Amino acid sequence: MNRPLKAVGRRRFLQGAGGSVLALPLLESTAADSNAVSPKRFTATGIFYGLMPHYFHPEKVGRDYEMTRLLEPLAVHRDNFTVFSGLDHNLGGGHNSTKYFLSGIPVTKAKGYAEANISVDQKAAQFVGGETRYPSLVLGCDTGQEHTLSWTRNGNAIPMVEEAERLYSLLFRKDNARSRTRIERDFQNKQSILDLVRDQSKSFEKGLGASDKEKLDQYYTSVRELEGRIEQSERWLNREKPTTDYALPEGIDELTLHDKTPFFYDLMVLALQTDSTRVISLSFTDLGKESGGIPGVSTGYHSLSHHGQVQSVMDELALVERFHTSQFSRFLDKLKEVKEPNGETLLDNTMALFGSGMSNGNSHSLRDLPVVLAGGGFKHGEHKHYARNGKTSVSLCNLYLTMLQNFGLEINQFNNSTGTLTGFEIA
Amino acid sequence: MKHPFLKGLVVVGVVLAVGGWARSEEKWITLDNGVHAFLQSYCVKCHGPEEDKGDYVLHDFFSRKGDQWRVDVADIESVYVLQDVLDQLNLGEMPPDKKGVKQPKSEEVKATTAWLTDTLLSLEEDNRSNVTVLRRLNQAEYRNTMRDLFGLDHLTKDLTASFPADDEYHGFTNIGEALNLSDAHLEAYLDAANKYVRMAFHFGEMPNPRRIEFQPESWGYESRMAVTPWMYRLATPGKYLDIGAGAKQLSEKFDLATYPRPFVNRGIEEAGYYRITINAEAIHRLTHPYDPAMIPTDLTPPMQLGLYISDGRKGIAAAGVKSRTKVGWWDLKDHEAQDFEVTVWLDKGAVPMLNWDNGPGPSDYWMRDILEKYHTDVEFRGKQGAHAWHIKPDTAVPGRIVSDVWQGPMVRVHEFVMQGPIHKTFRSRAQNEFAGGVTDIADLDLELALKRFTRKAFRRPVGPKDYEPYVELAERAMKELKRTREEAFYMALKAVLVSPDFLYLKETGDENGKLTSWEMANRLSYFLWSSMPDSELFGLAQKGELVKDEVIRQQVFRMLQDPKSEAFVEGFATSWLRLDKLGTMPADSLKFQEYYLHGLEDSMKAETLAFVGNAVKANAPLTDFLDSDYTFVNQDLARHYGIGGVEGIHLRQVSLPAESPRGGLLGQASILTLSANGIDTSPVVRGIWVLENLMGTPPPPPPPDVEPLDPDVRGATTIRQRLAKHSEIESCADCHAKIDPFGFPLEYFDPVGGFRETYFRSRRWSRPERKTIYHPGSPVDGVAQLRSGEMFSNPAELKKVLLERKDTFAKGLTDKLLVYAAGRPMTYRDHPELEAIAKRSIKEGRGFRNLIMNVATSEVFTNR
Repeated sequence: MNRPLKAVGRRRFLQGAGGSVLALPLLESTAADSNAVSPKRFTATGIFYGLMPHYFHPEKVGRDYEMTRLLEPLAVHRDNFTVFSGLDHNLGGGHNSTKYFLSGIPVTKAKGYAEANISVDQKAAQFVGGETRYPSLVLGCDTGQEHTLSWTRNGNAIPMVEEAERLYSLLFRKDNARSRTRIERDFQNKQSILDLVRDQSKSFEKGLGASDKEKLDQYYTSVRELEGRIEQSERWLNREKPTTDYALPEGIDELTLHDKTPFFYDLMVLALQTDSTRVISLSFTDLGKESGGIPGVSTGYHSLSHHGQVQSVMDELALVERFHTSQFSRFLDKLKEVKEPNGETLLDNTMALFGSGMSNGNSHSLRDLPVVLAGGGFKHGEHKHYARNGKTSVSLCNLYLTMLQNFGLEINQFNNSTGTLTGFEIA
Repeated sequence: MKHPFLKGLVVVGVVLAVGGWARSEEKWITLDNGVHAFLQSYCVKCHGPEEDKGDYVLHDFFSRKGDQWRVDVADIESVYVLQDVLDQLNLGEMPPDKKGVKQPKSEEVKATTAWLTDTLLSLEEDNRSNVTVLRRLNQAEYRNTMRDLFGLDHLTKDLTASFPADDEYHGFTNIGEALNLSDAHLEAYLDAANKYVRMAFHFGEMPNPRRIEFQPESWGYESRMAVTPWMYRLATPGKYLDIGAGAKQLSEKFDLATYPRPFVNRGIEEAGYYRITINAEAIHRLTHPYDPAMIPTDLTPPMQLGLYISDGRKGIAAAGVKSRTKVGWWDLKDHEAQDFEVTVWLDKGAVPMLNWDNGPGPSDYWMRDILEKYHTDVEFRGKQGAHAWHIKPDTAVPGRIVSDVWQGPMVRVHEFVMQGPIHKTFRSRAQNEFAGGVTDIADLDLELALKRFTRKAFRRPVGPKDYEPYVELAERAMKELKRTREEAFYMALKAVLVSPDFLYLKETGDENGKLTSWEMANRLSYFLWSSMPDSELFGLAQKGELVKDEVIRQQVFRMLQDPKSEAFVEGFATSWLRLDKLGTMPADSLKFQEYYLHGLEDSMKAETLAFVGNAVKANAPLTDFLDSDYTFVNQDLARHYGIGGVEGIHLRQVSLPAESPRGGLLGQASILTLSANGIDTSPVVRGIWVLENLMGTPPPPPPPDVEPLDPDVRGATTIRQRLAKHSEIESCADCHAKIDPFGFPLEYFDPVGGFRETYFRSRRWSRPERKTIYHPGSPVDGVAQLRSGEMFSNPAELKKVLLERKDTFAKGLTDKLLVYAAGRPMTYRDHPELEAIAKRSIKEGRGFRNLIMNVATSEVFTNR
């Protein structure tokens, strides 16, 4: 590490987090080039236990829709986002459905699909490949590893980065020459080991049945993919990480959800701005300690989600849910503040998705999911409703397909999509 | 035949078959004309063009060719449908016994089911062999295998904690077909292997062990007004440390850890095994002069001291639950100091922590109240959260402080010594076994070491082609990558530990599919120990003995006596009963404060494991799982169950009176908690649990287009009234008529398994009164009726009904055991065998251990 992290007093810092913190030059390579085409970015925020439908969905459709209790914090960005209703994954009830928010396919049903239950962020990350230091960042804030949003094309959940400090090191911590040498040696060791075990697998294969071989294929694939990741890391190892003045307060990961969430979003903005990655997912499940430190909330999130339609409980839950829409709104502020080389804002080039894989936590309903999409160059400003056709909802994957095409992928199918989302277009 | 579970199984079967059974090809089978006529006459009216009940339409399921009806079974969906039809007929569920529904004659049903059974069986025979698919070691198996491979026990850190979660099949995490492997796994394996290898081997000088003794003042504060008005940790220099507060769980909400303060900055400097000795006693437990009700913990059981190891500062922080491990816990004697000792591995940076594990919590309030009432001779200040107080009675004696007058209960620690790294660290079993005990790396015979290591790690005999590549890897690393001999050796070891030979259980069997003696050694040990075979099993494998029934039986008996069989109890009970769900939906902390205050979750799980463990050791009858006149409780659970006369933290067997609602699995708080959601209860969820885990007949999931009920607890509606909505919706009614009756009698248990006669309008923990305050609501109504007409209304009557189905239960349990033992789902072809095992076990007196032995000698288990 070149420079120790700045120790900034918490009070001063929290003020900082509320204001503008992003005075950061872009990577030199792109900063000078005003004709540069800014790459598209993608972020997804998933809230685990839904957003109360009657407080989330506007009644009126179109441009004149009313701001609802939960959307109201986003009102300042009205022209920059679209709120969707009627979209879902046509799944039956269940607790863990937000795990499938970004894929639409429960892991247990992933077998029938060529790319298993790959999530939309990972599909985008595949497309970016080695162009950025990290093909994607998968984050969780007080979430617990079982509540992941992101899945690989092999049906595996991707472990989340759950500490802001770790995320900060991933983005900015510069390894000195000695530790770079050490890391490089470690990479070489791993490569030799992987080389060998791949060879050994061939003798292991003898005598195996057909379905055993399918399992061993997974092994080969994993070896290959790990090698690929090591190569990618090796390529980036000697390329300098960006420099920032941004510092985290000491003990950031001991803060309450309320106090640390802004830092997660700030680091996300920085990650996109420095082109360290173009794809990020962020999962929220628990409130963590002190009921998240959200003023007015004293009960567990899970208890609140089973509100039983008791008004006082719904009011308390609304505080939690509004906290999340407010933080998302603040994230959009920050994305707008960052100017891209071509004069656009970072928000113009970032598709920022927000929502849940559950609509009504009280009943565990998975119909009509709460979904907001901001930025990314779409025509925004409306509440778009998609009517159900008989027993089938319009697939949320249709929106994802539209987003992936906008991201640059030349595909016409994503998981259970039946086409792109009609009536939702690029500006 | 059991419908939905089989349905699940057959689905897996079909999926398995895909490799050898190309989907694009068609595979037509011709329908027996009688069967076609049967379906037309009795099924299509409801499952056809006019109605599509249960989303099934059968009228266009077949296509006609000439005068034959046929169906394309290359389409998986078609096999599902045939399966479902068979299951429904076997169960006698369809056609429904309702007015206006035409009923088939029994011989018609028989002919149809016979054709369907044969057809499905032959389809399965054609398309897949029911063998265990290559199994990856799951997390627990990996951890235990590493322990036994290297002889590294008593680790304070779970080195597998960051492994990706194991894929699960109906609660089982050891099913070859379900378990996946990804690059994230490989990376985690490489990292873990690196840590294990470096813990197991040490070359070079053996440093002298250090003796680290902590003085009382390094743990606590001396008696000075400015720093210690309270009795949390009081140091009397040169003498002892008093700990006057502590909590059942070092939970996320507060920080009560007592740790040596200067030491925490560096922690342990040299990793290795350390011997920790503590000398401690309990003070004033029953001899304090205060009103016991003012001290918010139950002081009737012995006071308990807990020793924790924190990963640097992380585990000391309030939220650092994952960064601390409990390594010792002891009941303290009153006013009689005793030595306690534990030997554990300490990583660099490790820090010990102490806690009074059944202490009165962190609150300053109760101490304040006692001081105000009993000690008007001191002035004191205190603060908790936003509340602060300064109390200065007129009678206060200047200079006198709280510690001068306090007479409350305390843990008193006289001595705390850590010694290490001890000899065991540097002359480990691995060092002796694989490296021949050499300590100079130059003396290491690489080839011999790797030969020995691969043989044990691969759990089978090895030849030069097995270990030579690893020797070559080490040599190449030295020559080409210029690695030291030590590093090169470690690279080879790590390569072994991420090779498929180590990570997978390979079973090829002989030409008849029978497992070889070596493969049996592995199957048995992963079944009963979730770990690798020991030397006795290897010895028997070497002699080819493990193919003999009587040898297998002897081994099962021996292995179940071994403490390693706790892995079976935990692994099987967790999979079968879904204990993994316990704690995943947190109980409401206001309504059910006792759950947290008394750490009930741990006790609940311990009860069930003790119950299942006892069934193994005592060969208890299977019916005990349904109902028993005993269970296992400690003081906390006894309080929860309203059982008197139980003191202390250890579990013990207690007999239950005839009228007790406890006994059997359904009397256990663990089951009742995991089948609720922490907030309220649902007869549906509990009913499904009973059907799936006790009867072996899980109902199908609700159709995806049906919206779940939206709970509304405002009005006076009861759960029964709300569920009545189900019976109004046709697509729900059929299944719920089967599910709900098994759940209603269990409504007498609240979401954390407490017994209740009424629901509660409100239920809240009262801090001043140290108990839960209830406002009763409507009485519990547990009345339920099965389709068969049987009526029952409370847990005891439910258990009677279940006991009448004890053979069904035995079969369901056999099924689950076979799945766990063989690491694969059962199929139709296994069913004759499955029934034979169940029958034999019933005849032998239904002993659980007998059942396990019969499973271990069955063809399912001894074949691929």
